[in-house]
Order: sequence, then C-alpha cells, then structure tokens
Amino acid sequence: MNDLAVIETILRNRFHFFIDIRDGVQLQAKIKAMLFSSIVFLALFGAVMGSTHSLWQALSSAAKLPILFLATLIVSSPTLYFFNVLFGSNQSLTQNVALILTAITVTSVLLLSFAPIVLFFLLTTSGYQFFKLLNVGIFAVCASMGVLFLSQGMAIVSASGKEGSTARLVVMWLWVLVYAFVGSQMAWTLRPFIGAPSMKFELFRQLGGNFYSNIFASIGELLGFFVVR
Amino acid sequence: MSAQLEELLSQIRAEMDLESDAEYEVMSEIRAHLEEAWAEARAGGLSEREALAEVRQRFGPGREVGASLHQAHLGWGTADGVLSAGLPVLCALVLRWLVFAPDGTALGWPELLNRPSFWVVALVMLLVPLLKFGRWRYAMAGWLVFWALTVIFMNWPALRW
Repeated sequence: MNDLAVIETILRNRFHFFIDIRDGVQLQAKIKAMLFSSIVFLALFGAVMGSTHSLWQALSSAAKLPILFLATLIVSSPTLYFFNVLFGSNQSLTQNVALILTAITVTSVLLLSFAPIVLFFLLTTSGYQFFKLLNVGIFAVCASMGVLFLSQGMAIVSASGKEGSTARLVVMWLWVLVYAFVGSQMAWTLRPFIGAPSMKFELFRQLGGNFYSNIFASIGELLGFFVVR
Repeated sequence: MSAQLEELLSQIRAEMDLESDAEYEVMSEIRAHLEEAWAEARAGGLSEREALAEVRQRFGPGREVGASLHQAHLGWGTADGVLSAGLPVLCALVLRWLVFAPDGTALGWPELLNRPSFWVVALVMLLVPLLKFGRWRYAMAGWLVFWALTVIFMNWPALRW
C-alpha cells in the first residue's frame, strides 16, 4: 500500500511531495516506490500493446516498455543535473532523479488509465496503422502531463537555489526537448512494441529509418496516400 | 456534544487530505468513537470539562490523530483506480494467452471448464485482491470482471483477437 500511497500523494498533494524532494525527505523510499509502480504499470501497458501480435510480443513489450523509460532516464538525467548545478542549483543527482521519476510515474499511471481503452480498440478494430497511431497519441498525451508535473516540481525545487531559478526553468524546458528526442530514438531502437501483423516476432529489429519518418508514413497510409511496406 | 469536541474533530480533519467520501467515512467513525468515550466519561460522574479532558487524553492530540488516520487511509483511492483500470486488462490478457486457443478462437464451454489453467486463473483473480488488499469488494470485483470477460469472449465471436 505504501507504493500506492506515494502515487496518491503525487497526484493529490504534489506541492507537499515536491517540498519533500526539495528537502531530501525519505528520498530512497520515494524513489523505490515510484520505480516499482512505474515498472508494473508500464509492463501492463506494454503487454496490452504487444498482444495484438503474439504472446512473445506481449511478453517482450511488457519487458521493453519499462526499460525504454528507465534507460531514457539514465541517459538524460546527468545532463539535467550538471546544467542545474551550472545555474546555481543546490540539488543532488538523487533529487533530480526523484523529480524525473515523478514525471515517469505520472506518465505510467495515466498510461495505465488508458489501458482499458487500448484493449477495447484492440478487440474491436483490425487496423495496424490506426492502432499504432492511437498508441503514439496516448503516449504523447501522457508524457505531456508527466512533463507538466516535472516543470511544476522543478519550479518548486528550484525556488530554494541561491540564484538563477529562471535560468534553471529554461534549462529544464530545453532538457525536456532533449529527453523527448532521446526517448523517441530509444523507442525506435527497442522496437517493435506492437509488431506488424505481416512480420514474425522479433525481439529487436534492424536499425534504420527513424521514429518520425515512420509515424509520418503511418499517417500517410491511414489517410490513403500510400501503403507502408 | 461540546464545542471543544467539535474543535478536536476539526483539528483531526485539518490533517487529512483523502478522497471526500473516504474522509467522510473516517470522520463519521471517529466522531462516533469520541461521542461514545465522552458519554462514558459523563456516565462515570465526570463534569463536561473533565469528560473532555479524559477524551483528549484517551485519543491524543487532534493533529497527531489526524496525521495517523491520514497515513492509514492514504492510497486506497489510488488502489481503487489502479484496480479498476488494471484488473480488467490483466484479466483479459491472462484469459487470452493462458486459456483460449493459441490462434485466439474461443473454445467451447465444456472444454474451457475442463481446463485446470482456467480454474487456476479464476482462483487467482479471487484470492490475490483479497489477500493483497484485505478487502472483499476487491475480490468480488475481480471475480465479476473475470466471469464477465469470459462470457463476453465466449459468446461474442465477432471480437477480433
């Protein structure tokens, strides 16, 4: 129940939660609870995504979706930390990680809330491109809310620094762009998550192309401009 | 009941930030306990003031009581939300990959009911919510969702999966 209590505090009383992070109160316990909840929720959503293809794809996506978020966190968090330090922050790397994990936890909870809707479309539609774009849209909405939480948290935590709190907020928004690019490239590297119906199960696909051109092609096929092979 | 007891209740409530219906239930319960303790003290021959002091001593400072009640009940609202979203999804996935035919076609009822894996999943859906959260309503919700999804999958072949 402690893990869910942490989530409830984040959603219902975020100001208090961010103050705790700023003051370094029970950081390890908070990080552990957020990690556990995020992994479980992301794994469940990953399993739903992969279930359109096969059991192996469902299991693979359940494992890969938490890895996607955590790997992106590991790759991107030092940048945020060092730029914050450069602009006068007195927060540790652990506090920065806790803040980013708050955003990931919010994203994962929202993704879980969308899981029944994704399951409904999985059961009632057969269009692969539609299903893929539906998931991309859901990810975009949930990640945006997570980033909004991060910006609120950063504003509260930054207020305690000696100077440069405005500069640190600008750094945070630039970092969000970097985080989005790293995340989308990581997703492309770890693909497939849904699995094209015409292809056999693969744990990872060959590198090549990129996330954005693939989404553009999917939109083109859905609108009837061309067929993606 | 005296104004001081109302003040104690207000102090307790000020420390809580739960969902409004959960907060209402907790406050109703604590109010009943306070009134009972106050009535007992009055029946024992204490004056209003002494009875109030007795109640305060028995329950502790309002802020501490409120904080501990908040901690004790925090998370149940999220548990409701997580289970309402996660349980049907988890149940559907388990049914799909462990119970039905590999190609996704639904089996007949006799064949399905003869599968031990089906009954294992049914038992898990009943017992895990009960043992993990200790609440009957979660167990019943899990059980209902399980059977509803089974009936839907078995009788609605138009569902693509």
